[in-house]
Amino acid sequence: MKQPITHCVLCGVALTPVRSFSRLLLRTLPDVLCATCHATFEPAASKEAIFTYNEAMQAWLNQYKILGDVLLAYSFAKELHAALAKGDIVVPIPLHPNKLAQRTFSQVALLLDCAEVPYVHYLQKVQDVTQGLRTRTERVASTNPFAVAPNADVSGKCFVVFDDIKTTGTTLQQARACLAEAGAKSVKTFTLCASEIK
Amino acid sequence: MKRYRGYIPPAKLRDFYAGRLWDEARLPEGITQEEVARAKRAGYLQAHVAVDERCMRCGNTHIIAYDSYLYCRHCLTMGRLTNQTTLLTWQGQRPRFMRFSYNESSLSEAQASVSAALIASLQQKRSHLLDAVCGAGKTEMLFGAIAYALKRGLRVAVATPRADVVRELAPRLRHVFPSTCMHVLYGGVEKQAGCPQLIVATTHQLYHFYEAFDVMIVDEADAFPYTYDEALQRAVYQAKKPQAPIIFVTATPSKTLVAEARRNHYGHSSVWRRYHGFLLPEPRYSALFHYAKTLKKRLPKKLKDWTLERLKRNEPFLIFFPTKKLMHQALPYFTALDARIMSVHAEDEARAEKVQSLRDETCKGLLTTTILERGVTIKNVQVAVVGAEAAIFEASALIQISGRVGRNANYPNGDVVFFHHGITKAMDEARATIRKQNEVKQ
Ligand SMILES: [Zn+2]
Ligand SMILES: [Zn+2]
Repeated sequence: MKQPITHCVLCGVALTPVRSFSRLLLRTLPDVLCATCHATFEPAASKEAIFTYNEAMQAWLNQYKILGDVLLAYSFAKELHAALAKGDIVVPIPLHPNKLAQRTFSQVALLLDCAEVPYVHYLQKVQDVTQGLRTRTERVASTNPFAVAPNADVSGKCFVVFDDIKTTGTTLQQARACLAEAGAKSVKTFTLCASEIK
Repeated sequence: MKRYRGYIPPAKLRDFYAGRLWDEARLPEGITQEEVARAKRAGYLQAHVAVDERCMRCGNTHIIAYDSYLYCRHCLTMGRLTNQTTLLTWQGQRPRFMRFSYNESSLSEAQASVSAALIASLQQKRSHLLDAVCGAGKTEMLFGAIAYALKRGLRVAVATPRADVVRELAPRLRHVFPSTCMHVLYGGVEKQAGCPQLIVATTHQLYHFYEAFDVMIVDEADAFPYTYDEALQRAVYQAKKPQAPIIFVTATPSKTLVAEARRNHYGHSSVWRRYHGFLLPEPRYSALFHYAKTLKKRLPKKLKDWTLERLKRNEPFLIFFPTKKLMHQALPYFTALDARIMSVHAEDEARAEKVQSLRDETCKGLLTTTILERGVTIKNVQVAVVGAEAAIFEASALIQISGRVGRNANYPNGDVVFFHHGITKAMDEARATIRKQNEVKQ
């Protein structure tokens, strides 16, 4: 994005600007949410996610993914940077090319871009299935929709697979299995938010 | 524009696209991509780039760029528009509207004279400001003007900021104009058949129209001119034909709107009495200091007593809260008094049903955010505002809230109480306005 963000991307109030020298010294990412909006997101119980999937997160995901408000990708840059910038190789859950064409942006990778988290596309999506339309059992039973990208050497490496949301965990399990079978040393998973399954 | 001979576009295309400004990719039900492409090639549909340095739909110029895309955030909720989106407008024949019938309702003398003034303004194609106190019977005064336009085959839009008001207006209009094709439009409503001659819509829905209407009626226009949302105001102007008059209807016109009406020689009617002739109930103040703190533990005594009194007298009531959070905090203490007390807020999907259950008396009282401040009519309703000093309760909001009470001729009085933690200018202004309206001689 080319424009500096001066107002909260959710409610539109003016943001207090961070002085540029302190930004340079501390190398902090810009805030794009005001404190009030930020407080509506609850920290996750699990260590493998930053937030819980609550009402605010549901609305945020809808605006970001479904409505396509790309500017929101900066919302949690600081948190994602702190959690993922150092350590294992980050592998975002890929989007099927058809879906990408329709959405015009890759919502998972863009979150990482905005958080200045390096990542490698070791995975690609070979099956275009929409999760929402299927039952949980069907989803678990279905075959792995992911494949290791051609020419990618994963053997002996440590990975963390990243997705925006964890609901059943199936997607992450499939991605993890895919990398493990190709010889990865370890595969962790991490998401922006996770829903508490009752 | 060149047109192919021998091709006549299907009527369903005209019915849908005439007057609309519509994203090509969002195909309406029952219309195929091929049909659209064909009509486009034949020049019946014109394609426009939705976003360049400005959004064609909402006029916003603060455009966001990423990769090779440009998109508009301002009207995002209506479906995202980018520089890759094509918007279509209809270039073919305009639809003709022949069917008309009118169930005329009887009007009071005051209502009849306003109705005549509105029709006179339409005849001269000039805009008109109608300011009338809450409960004056504004809608009834509009029927004559709408009938005048519909009878002549003109297209009419009735727009209002709130979906609740749309839902309240729609059945009344349907009853008065039974043979007119009318569409009711607000977020999430299903597609309706036929080409609408009359639409009742939230102001936001006007973004989907382009030079469509011969008469534009803006209900609850007190926020007009919209200083906080110029785009929404542009939507009103863009949806109507350039020369089409606007009827602004409001109980609390802004000074700017009154000045604009005078400057541009709009027609202007004022109605200071309710249709039943009784005075407007004046709000009273009641101090409820530190209510926010108290509400964490229990109901403040005065508020509890007020509620119990309503329950004892079996009077339906609305209690307004400044925030959803405070309301939810308070709800359990109210349901402890009577389980048939409920709460509503903007995102509540069961809102319409809950309001109806209050009318049906299966619900005893509703806690609400400002969402129910206007448009809602409930017989014999009593009203309290908790935290009337909060900034969200502007004078116009408080006037509207007070206006919920005493609308029915059989119950022309009722209690309006502002529970507060300090008196604000807005509260005083609201009360002073109501007093002034009551003092005006008829
Ligand atoms: Zn905010
Ligand atoms: Zn726009």
